[in-house]
Amino acid sequence: MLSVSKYWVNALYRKARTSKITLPHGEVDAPVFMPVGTQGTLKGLLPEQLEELNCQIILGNTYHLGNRPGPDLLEKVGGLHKFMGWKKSLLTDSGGFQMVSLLDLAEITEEGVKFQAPHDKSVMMLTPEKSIHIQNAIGADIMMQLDDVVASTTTGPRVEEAMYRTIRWLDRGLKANKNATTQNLFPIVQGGLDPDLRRKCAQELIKRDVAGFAIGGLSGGEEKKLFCKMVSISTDILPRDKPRYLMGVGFAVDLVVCVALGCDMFDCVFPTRTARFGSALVPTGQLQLKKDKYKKDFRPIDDSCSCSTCQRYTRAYLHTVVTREPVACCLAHST
Amino acid sequence: MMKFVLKQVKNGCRLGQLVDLPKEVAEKSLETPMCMLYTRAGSVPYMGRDVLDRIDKLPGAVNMPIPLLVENMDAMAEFPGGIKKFAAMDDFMTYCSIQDPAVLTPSGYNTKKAVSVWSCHGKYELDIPGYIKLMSSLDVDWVQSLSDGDTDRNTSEKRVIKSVERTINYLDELLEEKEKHEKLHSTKLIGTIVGGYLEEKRFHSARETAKRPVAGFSMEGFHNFGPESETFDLEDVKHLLSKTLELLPQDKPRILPGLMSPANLLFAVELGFDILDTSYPLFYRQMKICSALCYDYNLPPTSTDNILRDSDEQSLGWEMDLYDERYREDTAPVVKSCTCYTCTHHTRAYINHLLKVSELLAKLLLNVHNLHHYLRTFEVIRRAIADDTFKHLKQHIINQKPS
Ligand SMILES: [Zn+2]
Ligand SMILES: [Zn+2]
Repeated sequence: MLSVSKYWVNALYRKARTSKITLPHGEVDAPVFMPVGTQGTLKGLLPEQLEELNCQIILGNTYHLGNRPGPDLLEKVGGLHKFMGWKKSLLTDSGGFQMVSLLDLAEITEEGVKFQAPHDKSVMMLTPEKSIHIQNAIGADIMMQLDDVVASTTTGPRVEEAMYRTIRWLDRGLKANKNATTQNLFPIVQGGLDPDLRRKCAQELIKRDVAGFAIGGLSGGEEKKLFCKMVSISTDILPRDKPRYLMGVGFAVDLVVCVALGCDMFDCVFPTRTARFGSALVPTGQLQLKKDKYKKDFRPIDDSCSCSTCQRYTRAYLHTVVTREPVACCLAHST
Repeated sequence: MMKFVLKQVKNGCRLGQLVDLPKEVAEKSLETPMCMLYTRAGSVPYMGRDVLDRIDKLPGAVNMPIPLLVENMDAMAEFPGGIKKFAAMDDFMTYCSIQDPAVLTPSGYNTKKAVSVWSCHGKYELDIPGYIKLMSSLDVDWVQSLSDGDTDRNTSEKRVIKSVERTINYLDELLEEKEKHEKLHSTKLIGTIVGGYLEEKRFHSARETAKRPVAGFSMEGFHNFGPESETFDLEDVKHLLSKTLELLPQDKPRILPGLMSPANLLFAVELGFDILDTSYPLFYRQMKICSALCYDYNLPPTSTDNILRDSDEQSLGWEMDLYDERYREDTAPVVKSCTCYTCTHHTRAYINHLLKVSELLAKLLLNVHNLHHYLRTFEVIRRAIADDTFKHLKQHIINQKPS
């Protein structure tokens, strides 16, 4: 286990746990939902506002950050933390998933993910080494290995191939990590919806000297029973004293279940994306603030919330600004 | 009850103060020449209150233009506490202007009975009863009297006469109606001086308005705001303006609305205007701003502040376009000597990145800096008037005008 991360499991209920993850940029209380700051910012919020909302870790997208501002500039200015003025922890993905999902031409070979650059149509290759190189420039506290992602609906030999390739790519990534003492690299458990492959993958990964693990290849769109089984198989094998990050699922599934299954870290694209489109999260679901029924609703978004938006503004006021004035997105409220 | 006190007049420049305001307002700067915070639907563009409060030495006054509020008239009428409380701005002295100083008002829609204002969903006609109703739900300190300032350099004499007549009539009717509503006693009317570019008509407008019990004056009818106010050169109408202002009582504040470039704002102060607004730093070029104000407002010989401007900044003029590729790797703050949130926390390179990827935060950070820069300019102006160095300061800033 790397010395840069400490992990304490505070309390356990069956597989569920609360814990404290110590990272180079501070402690993270888990279970944790990590808001996504795709391009080195979070939808109109100052880094300081994020801190005030008790946000301890955010997620950056390597694919986007690799394009702009690019690894050369990030290296020059001393990493993304410095560049965006974010003092707390940061996690980056490998960039591979975005390529496969965003780009038309993405071909996967043993070498890496081949893709056509959207700006000049040139063919480029993202290798496990290149992914780590960019993530080293970004300087995230937690980096993700490049993995061979297949849709969770895929069956047959391709799933097995992807699983084994993911392990080979992990070893290449670990070797390429220049900042092993300051940046943690998390392996990713793959194996589709096949219990044996999942088990095999997890057992192989835990042999590596890493500080935590991720569970990938699940979208939350699978049959719920199967999804839970895959998560559970993975967490059964992963060591109890290291954090587990359930990738890319966000609010698509019942997160309480995933916590019960022993996961600690989750993506949380939801709050900022919805704020942008004029809805706000409340314990009972979402408020579509644009709707006419809020025109004269003089309650705060959430009576029980202590954020500065709820302290100051009514639903009626937010309704007036939410669709027309560029201030709405800056009114941070999160639950 | 709030009052305006004129403290000193030096070479035309007036030093004054708004006094007798509630404690939470009086903690902010109420000295004139001042610039009111420009808001849209009650909020400073891109800033919720928690961001606004990160800007130090905020002025104690805010302008909430009517066109951006009319749509929510129903809700406001039912909301206890008026627009200030509704928009979480109840610690500001609040003024509502008839038109939005930052946006072009469509021409040709005012009548004898009503003034048209434009929200993003279309036209609203404000007649006397409707306006009285709106005023009572707004419940603010100052409201501009209805006015027909829809004139410019090309307007016919006949049309100008009409605009002056209408504007005086609206004022008389509003003053009379207002008396009947007890709730409106704490709301004061600001009279509007119009008259296009015709001396006699403008003088008439000023004399008549001055006779009425208004709390102050707004000088309009030269253009229809927005981009027209940005290119409007105050130097061109210097004599017309100074002679008109002579007709007004000294002890009432004079407002000049519109996008005020650094040069225009200095001319305005020299002519004896007291209150401008921050629509220029917050809204100029129709929100397509990528630029940061960077003119130096510190007078080299008298300044006690550190001048850290490098030669690069000196050559930039009043503003710098942070979208420019030259800032890609520039890790300096926007303006090196600036103490605003943006300059103390972020770099040109980061803002350049945010602009390139069209992230909202870019506009927020620019607005924070530009607002700070503009507010500091007013602070420096007030100091310069008191120190008798205003002429120097004016020349110093105008000299930086981009060629
Ligand atoms: Zn809240
Ligand atoms: Zn600044």
